Amino acid sequence: MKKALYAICVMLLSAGFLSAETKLKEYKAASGISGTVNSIGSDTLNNMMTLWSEAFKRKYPNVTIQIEGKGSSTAPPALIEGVSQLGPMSREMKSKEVDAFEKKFGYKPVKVGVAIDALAVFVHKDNPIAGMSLKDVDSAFSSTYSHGGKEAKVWGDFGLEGSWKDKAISLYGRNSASGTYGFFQKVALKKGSFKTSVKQQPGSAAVVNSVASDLGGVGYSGIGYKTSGVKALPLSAEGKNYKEPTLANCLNKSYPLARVLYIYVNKKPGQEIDKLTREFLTFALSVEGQEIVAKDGYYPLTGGAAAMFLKALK
Amino acid sequence: MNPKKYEISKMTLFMDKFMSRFITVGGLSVILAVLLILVFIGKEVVPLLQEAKVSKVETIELPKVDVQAITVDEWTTLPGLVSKDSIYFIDFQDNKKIIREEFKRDANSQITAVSYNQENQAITVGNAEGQFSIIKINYNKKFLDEYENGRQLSETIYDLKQLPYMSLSDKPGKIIDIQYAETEEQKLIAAVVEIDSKKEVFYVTLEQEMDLFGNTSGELKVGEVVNLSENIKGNIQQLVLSSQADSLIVSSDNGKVYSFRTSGSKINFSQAFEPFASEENKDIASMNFIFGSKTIIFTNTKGRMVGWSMYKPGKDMPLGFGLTKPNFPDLEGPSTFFTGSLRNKAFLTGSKSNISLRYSTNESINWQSTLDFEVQNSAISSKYDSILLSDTNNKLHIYKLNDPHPEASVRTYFAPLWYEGQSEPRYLWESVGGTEEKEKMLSMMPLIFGTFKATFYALMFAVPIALLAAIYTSQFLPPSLKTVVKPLMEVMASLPSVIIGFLAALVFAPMVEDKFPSIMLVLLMVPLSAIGMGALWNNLPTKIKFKCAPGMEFIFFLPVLIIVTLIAWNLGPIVESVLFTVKDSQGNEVANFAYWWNKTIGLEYTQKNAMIVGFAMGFAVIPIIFTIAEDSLSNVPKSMTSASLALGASRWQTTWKVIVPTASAGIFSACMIGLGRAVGETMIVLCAAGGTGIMDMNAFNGMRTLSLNLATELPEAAKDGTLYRTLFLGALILFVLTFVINTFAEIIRQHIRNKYKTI
Repeated sequence: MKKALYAICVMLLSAGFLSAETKLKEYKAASGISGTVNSIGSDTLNNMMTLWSEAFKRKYPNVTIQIEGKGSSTAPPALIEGVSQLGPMSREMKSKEVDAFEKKFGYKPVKVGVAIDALAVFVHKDNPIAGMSLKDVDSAFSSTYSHGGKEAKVWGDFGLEGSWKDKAISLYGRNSASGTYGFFQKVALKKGSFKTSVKQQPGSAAVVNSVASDLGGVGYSGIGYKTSGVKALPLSAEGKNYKEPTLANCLNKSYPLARVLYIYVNKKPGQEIDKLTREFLTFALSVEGQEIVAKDGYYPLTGGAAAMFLKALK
Repeated sequence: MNPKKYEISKMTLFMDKFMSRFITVGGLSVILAVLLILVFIGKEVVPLLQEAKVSKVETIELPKVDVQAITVDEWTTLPGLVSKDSIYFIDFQDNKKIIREEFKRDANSQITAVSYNQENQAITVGNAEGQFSIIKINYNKKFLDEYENGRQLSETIYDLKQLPYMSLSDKPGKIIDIQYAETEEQKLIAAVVEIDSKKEVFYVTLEQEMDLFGNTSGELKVGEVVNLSENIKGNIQQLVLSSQADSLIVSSDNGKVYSFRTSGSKINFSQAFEPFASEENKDIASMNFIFGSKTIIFTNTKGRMVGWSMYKPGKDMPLGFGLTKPNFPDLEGPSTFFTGSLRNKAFLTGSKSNISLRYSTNESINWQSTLDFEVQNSAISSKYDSILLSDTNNKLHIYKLNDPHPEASVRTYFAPLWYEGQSEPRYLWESVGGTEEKEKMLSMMPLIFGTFKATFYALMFAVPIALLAAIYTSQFLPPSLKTVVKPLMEVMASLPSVIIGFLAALVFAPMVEDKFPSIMLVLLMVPLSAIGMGALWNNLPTKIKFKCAPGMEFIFFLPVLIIVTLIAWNLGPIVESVLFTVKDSQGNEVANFAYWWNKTIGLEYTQKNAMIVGFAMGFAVIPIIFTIAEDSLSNVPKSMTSASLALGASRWQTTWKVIVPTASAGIFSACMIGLGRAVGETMIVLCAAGGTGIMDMNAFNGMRTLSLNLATELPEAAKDGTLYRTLFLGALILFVLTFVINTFAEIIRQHIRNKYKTI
C-alpha cells in the first residue's frame, strides 16, 4: 500500500514536471557548506527530518544535523533560546508563541511549508467501519461535543453490527505538547476538550502501534505513520460523503483534516539566512527532498507552494 | 599515680567544642536552606496574585469626528479612528500625524453602518441602498537599516484594501448594523436592514476559493443570503456575529436573545433565551462575545452583568447557551463600551467614566478605575499590552497595560468554576490547550485530591503489612533470622522507585486487570489462613508444640501459605464467573471484573488506577515504616518484657499490652514518615497513575498528583508564564502540606511520648 502510494506520488511529481505550472526545482549542491544545525520540534516530522538530513549529509559530509522530536510545542522555545536553527511544527505557531519570539528578536519567525499531511484517524485493520464524519469523531473523542456530536462509547453507536456492536471504543491520542493534538482539537473537536479516557501517547508511532494491537482502538496521527496493522479512515466534514486521505483530496480540501507541515526559522528581515539552514530548506523543497516526503508516507508540495515558501526565505 | 591520666586531653576538648559548633552551624544551614527554598518558591508564586497595572501614556487631541470604533495594530504604533465615512490613522512614529483615508463610496449614497473586527483587521461598511463593502487593513513592519541596542529598527506601515460594494439582497433597504467575521473555512456577513421601515436580519455567506496554503484566488462573491427575521419576535435591537463565524445572536426589545448556529454554509435557528429572566430589569443593554466565541457577556440597563456559555446540558440535549457566570460584580450603569482581549478571556468594559478590566473564567475584576472623562470607545491591543480609549470630548487616551497573569486568582485555583463547554461548575486541570482560544483550567483541587488519594491507598496497603511485620519480626522471630530479615527489608527500601513504577505499569497493571478476583482472593485468604493456623496451633497438644523451637512456627505455616495461595489463585476465575458475570447487549454472558464494575456499579475501570498505585507505592513505603517501627519496638527495655513475662503474661499479651503502647510514639512517627514519602512520591505515580485529574475515590481509576503534575509540565512551561508560576504554586502547596503533616505528627508524637515517659 505504502509502495503504491509512493509510486503514485512520484508519478504525480513527474507529471508536475511536464505541466506548464510551476515545477519543483532540482537541487544543485552549493560549495563550502559545513557546520552544525539543530532541529527541535514536531514528532510528526521527525522521520522526515532524519531522512532529509541523511540525504543532505551525503551531499555535504562536513555537516552535522541533530534532530530532536518531542512535539511541536518544544519548537518555539528552542528557536527563541537559540538552541535550534530549525523548528519543525505540525501546526502553525500560536500568537502567544509568536509574541514571545517577537519580544526577543523584534521580528516574526518565518514559516516554511515542507510537506502536506492528511492527519488520519486510524482504526484497527479489521474494523468494518466505512468512514466517519467530523461529528462522529467529536462524538468519540470529545467531552464537550462542540462539533455537535453526542456521547459514543461502543462501536454500535456508529452503526456497526454483530460482535462490534458492543465493543468499547478505546481512544488513543497524543500528549498536549504535540501539534497534532492541537490541530485535531481545533478542527475535529472545534476547540472542545478531549475525553479523559483518551490514552495519551508520547509519539505518533506509539498511537499507531496501540491502535494496531487493540481491536476496538481508534487514534489519530500523521498519515506518514500508517502501518499494515491499521486502517486510515475516510473522513467527511459533514454527512456520509467520506473522502480518502489522498493527496488530491488534501489539495482540494475535501479531506477535512488536511494540513501543511512547517519548519519555522529565525530569519532577520532584509538579510540572508545562514547558508547551511538555507541549503537545507532548499534541499527539502527540491524534487529530491519532496521525493523523500513521499517515501515517508506524506504528500509532496505543489511546485507553486514550494516556490512561494522559498521566496519567503530570500 | 599520674593525675594527668584522668584529665581530658586538650585534643578531645577541642574536638568536642569544634564538633558541637560544627553541628550547630550544619543544622542551622539545613534550616536556612529549607527556608531559602521556601522563599524561592514563594517568589515565583507571588506575582500571580498581583493586580493588573495600567498606567497612562498620553492623551491626544482629535479632529472632530464621530468615532465609531478604534482600530489598533499589534504594536500600538498606528492606531486609527473609524468614523462613518473614513478612517483617521494617528502615526506615533511621525509625531502623531493624523492621516485621513476616506472610504470609497458612490457620490449619492450614504454609509449608514460601520463596524470593525480586530481579529481579522477588517472594517465593514453598509449603505442606505443595502450594499456593503469590506475594507481590509494590512499592518506591516518595514525593517530599516538602522540599529539601536543591537535591534533592527522598523516602521509600521498600513495598507488599505477596499473590496467593491456588493448587494446584500435583492430587496434594497437601509443597512443599520453590519458585522463581518472570517475564519479559514468561512467568511460571513450579518446585517440588520431596514426595509419599508421594518427591521430584518440577514445572514450572508461570502465565497472565495482558498487553497491549502492559504492563498486566495478569484473574486469574493456573495453566496447564500438568508433572511432570519421570521425566527425573531419583538423589535430587533442588536446583532452580534461571533468572530469564529459559528454563531450569530440577535437581541430584541422583549428582553430575549435569539441565537443561530452555522454548520457548513447553512445557518440554523438554535435557541431563544432570556439572559435576565430572573431579574426585575430584563432589558439588554449590551451583549458581546469573549475571545473564543463560546461565552457571551450581557449587561442590562441597570448595569447587572452575566455570562452565558455554550455547552451540552445532557446526554441527548443539543448544544446551547446557558447561564454559567452569574457572579460578576455589577457595573454602575448599562455598559457603554466593550472590548475583548485577543489573547485570553479578559475584557474591558464600563459605564461612562467607570471602567473595569474583567476576566471571564473566574468572574474577577483585574483592574478598575474612575476616570475624569466619559469613555465612548475602547480597544485593547492584540498583544494585550495597551489600552486605547476615546472620550466624548474628542480625545484619545493611551494606557500601558501590564497584566502578565490575568487568569490567576484565588478562585481560579481553589473554587469550582464553570468552564466553557462544561455542564456544571467543576474543579478541573487542563493547562495546555491545543489552541489559543481554549480556556485554561488551573484548579489545584484535583491535584491536592489526587495526592491524598494516592497516599490513602498506599498507606491502606502499606501500614498494616509493615506494622504487623515489624511486630512479628521484633517480638516473635528468633534473633538469628531477624538479622537476615531486617537488612533484606532495608535493601528493598533502596529499590529505585522508577523500577517499581515500571513494573507496576507494565506487568502488574495488565495482570490485575485480567486476574483481579484471583488477586483479591489471595489477599483475603492468606491472612485468614494465618489466623486459622494460629487457632489450630493453639489447640495442638503441648507435646507437639514443644517439638518446635519458639519463633520457628512459621516453618509449618509456609507450605500452608503456598497451598492456600495456589488455591486462591485458581479459584479466582470461578469466583469471577459466579459473582462478576454480566450480560452484554447481545445476551452473551461475560465474566470479567472490569466490565462488571463498569456495568453494575457504573464506575469507570482504567488499567492504571489507584489500586495499582497503592500496591506499588506500598512497596516503596513498607520498608521505611517497617524499619523505623521495628527499631522502636526492639528498643523497649528488656526489663519490661521480662517483668511482664514473669508475671505470667503470654508472649502475645506482653506484645500487645506492654510493648506496642510503649513503642507507640516510634510506631506513629514511622507511619508519618511513610506518609511523607507517599505524598511526595513522583516516579511511581508518573508510571502507574494515568495522570487524569479527576476527583472521586473510586479505587479503579487514576489520579493526578501535585508531584506528577510538576514533573510532567514544568519542562514544557514557558519561564515566568502563568503556567510556570502555577506549577510553583503546586510546589508550594506540596511543601506546606508536608510541613503541616510533619509538624502535626511531631506534636502528637511528643504527646504520646510524654504519656509513656513514666514507664
